[in-house]
Amino acid sequence: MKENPEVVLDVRSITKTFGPTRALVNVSLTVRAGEVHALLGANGAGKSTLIKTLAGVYVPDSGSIWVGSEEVHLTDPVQARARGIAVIHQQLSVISSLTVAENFLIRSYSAKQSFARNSAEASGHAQRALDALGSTTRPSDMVSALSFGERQMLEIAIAISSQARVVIMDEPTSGLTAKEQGRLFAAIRQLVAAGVGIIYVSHKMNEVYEIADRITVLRNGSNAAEFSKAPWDRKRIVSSIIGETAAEALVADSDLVRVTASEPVILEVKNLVTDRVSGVDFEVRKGEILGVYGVVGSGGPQLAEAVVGARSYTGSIRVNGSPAPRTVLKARRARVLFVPSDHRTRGAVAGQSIQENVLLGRGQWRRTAWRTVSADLHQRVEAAANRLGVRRHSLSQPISQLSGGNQQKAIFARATFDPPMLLVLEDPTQGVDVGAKRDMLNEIERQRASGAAILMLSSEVSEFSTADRVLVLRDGLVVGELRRPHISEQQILQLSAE
Amino acid sequence: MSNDLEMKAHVNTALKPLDQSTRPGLMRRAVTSRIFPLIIALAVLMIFFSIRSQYFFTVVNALNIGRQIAVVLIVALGITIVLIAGEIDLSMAGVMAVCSITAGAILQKDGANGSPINALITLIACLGIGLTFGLVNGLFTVRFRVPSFIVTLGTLSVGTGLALSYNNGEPRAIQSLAFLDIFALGQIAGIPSLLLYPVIAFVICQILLKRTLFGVQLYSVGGNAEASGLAGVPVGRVRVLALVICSVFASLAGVILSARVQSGLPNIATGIELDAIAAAVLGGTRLAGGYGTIVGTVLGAVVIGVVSNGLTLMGIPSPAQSVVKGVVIIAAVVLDRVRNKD
Repeated sequence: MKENPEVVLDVRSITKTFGPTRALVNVSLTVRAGEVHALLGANGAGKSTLIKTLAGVYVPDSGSIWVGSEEVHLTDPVQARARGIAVIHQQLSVISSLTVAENFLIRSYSAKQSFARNSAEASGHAQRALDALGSTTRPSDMVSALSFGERQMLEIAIAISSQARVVIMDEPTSGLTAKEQGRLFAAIRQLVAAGVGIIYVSHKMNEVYEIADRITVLRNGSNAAEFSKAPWDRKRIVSSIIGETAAEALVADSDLVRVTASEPVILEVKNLVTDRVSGVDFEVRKGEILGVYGVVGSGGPQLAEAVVGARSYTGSIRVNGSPAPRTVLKARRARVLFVPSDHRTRGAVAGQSIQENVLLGRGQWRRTAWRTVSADLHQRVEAAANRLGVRRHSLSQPISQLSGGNQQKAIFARATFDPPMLLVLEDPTQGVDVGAKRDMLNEIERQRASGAAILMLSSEVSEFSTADRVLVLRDGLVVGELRRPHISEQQILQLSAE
Repeated sequence: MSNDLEMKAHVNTALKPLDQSTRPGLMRRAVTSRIFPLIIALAVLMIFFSIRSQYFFTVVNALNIGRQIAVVLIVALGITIVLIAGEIDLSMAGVMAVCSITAGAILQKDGANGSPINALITLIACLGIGLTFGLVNGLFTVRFRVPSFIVTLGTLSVGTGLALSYNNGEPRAIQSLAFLDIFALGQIAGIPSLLLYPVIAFVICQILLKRTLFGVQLYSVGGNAEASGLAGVPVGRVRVLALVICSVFASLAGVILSARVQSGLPNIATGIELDAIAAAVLGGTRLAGGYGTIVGTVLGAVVIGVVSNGLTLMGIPSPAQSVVKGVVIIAAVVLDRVRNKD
């Protein structure tokens, strides 16, 4: 099979439009048995539309989809699954209130096959599929008790047991620990060895270079380029994603060491204890970027929430010398601003306009009881959106019409609309494309240069390219600190794993 | 999605300046607006009933419809605000029952003429009752995180229970002409007073939703409470205020309805929450929160009012009317969902 790999999925020239928006234009993609085919592209390039089309969520306007030697018409997700296309979305679709075996039961049997709940058989299926992946999860486990990585492994096991020929993985490593990522890659290699074709969607280039056999890049809804392995032409891959040759701007100037020791301390955290955080001390000075790294479950998000007033704690947090406000509302008034992770669910209000989202939480009942936005304020929102490069038709457009990266930029504009004193960023550039990442890093640098203290928390090592110092959290404790120019991804990972 | 855009453009008139270049024409905005089908449906219903009954399309009948929907409209406006915030309030009938009993008790000693002072005292007392109910609903929903469905189901029961235990649940006639005049039977500035209060309630709601910061925050809390909270919106305060507004509106409705039926009745408004929610939902308000308009709710209430009035004029008995009303509501919401997918 290796010599002449059969094509398991052939997407031929599909086009999909939504009203005036052309999301996909003559996009083609072939996936061979036993290969990992990475699908790359900036936010809004059409990856999500393509995945949803293959998942049977969207029906293409023209073009055809072939599985093996058969043309398929996928009009709903059940059909896609029946044809052997399994999609593992970022938001996993296992049901947490059921057991592992029950999840197998509802997913791998269609209603026609059986009404009877054949638990014993489902358990057997589940056990075999999980064993094949080397997972220690048992069929009788409740899904709610599993970690994110275990749930993802469960999704893959379900895909295997339903005889999937193509498995599409959308940002599979976000939220995984380094160990879990290793397990995931092992599972992928197993699938590949068994002749399954994988479509791997990710923004993390290092991962892609490691696992992929081929790369297809989409840009503005069309095929931009295709690359084959060994050796990867990294520069050309990145520039084909962003469509320009400005990729260098991303590389951190890691030799530069800023001296901030004489600057005033803006944030001082002493013996902070809250959920998952068990006694943390640190300080951030004016004009300094402090990174805090921790794998999922290390307490990073809880730490961020305590600092911005969204979580109760014991210990001391002082902002500019005075005790930190205990509510988000008051923290904002003290110029402590927060960009939460997962901007779709925790940042954006989908039904509201870009302008309303940028201005959300600004203004107080007593002082500005009227909602009318003055022409002046409108101009400022316009300027903030331009500064961050929020691609839009108009500010009155609902934010949900924007791509993920542009939504995130709008949430950024909210936090930096009035100059912050302390900017707390949680996974600031996670899941966004290279261009959007650059826009946001530039904004962070602007805020830093104009005197903001910046606290940046993430479970992604790659987020810290601009940090002056990086603290490493493990199980709610600081286990190490790195300073420029001695910050490297390896060292961070090593510290967190010890 | 594009319909949502139109709807928000409609809701947020105050958030202008919209870019002139992208602003659609009035006609286009009207046709694509979410309530457009409702306007068409209303027109069709009115033509239909006008053909079937000569009496339907008359000023007298229009006033009749107005009187019939006045009370439920006030309640519906209140529930719309709560629904936009992503909460629900079922306690209105309880609030109205307590208010009605209170009105009966306060006005008991008034003679046939009654005193306007006592009428005013009644109003203030009842608004106080509404405020109390709203604060209790808000406190338990926000502070103790009990879902508003449960809290208000509880206060509905408490309210009706209190009203029924007072005076053994016996209704009490209200004779005070001053009270009846001010709240239902008389005219103020040439307008039947019964019709004036829904208009006042409408104006208050429009100002609240379109002109105040509270209005924007109401939509944002209903749309995404977590994101709003992390952005610094006082989510709890917004929810409490929404529940308070709803209860206060219900207490006003209780006073008006007591004047209309000329008595203090403990079971004065049983089931009104369902009619009010129906009007709001018919008008495009989403039960999940984040979307809804005051104009939509008014139209929703008018459609329901026109349907029952027209059917009555056609001589269709009340149980059958109930069936038709139910079908109309479900059909309207289905139509809305089909037009605005997802």
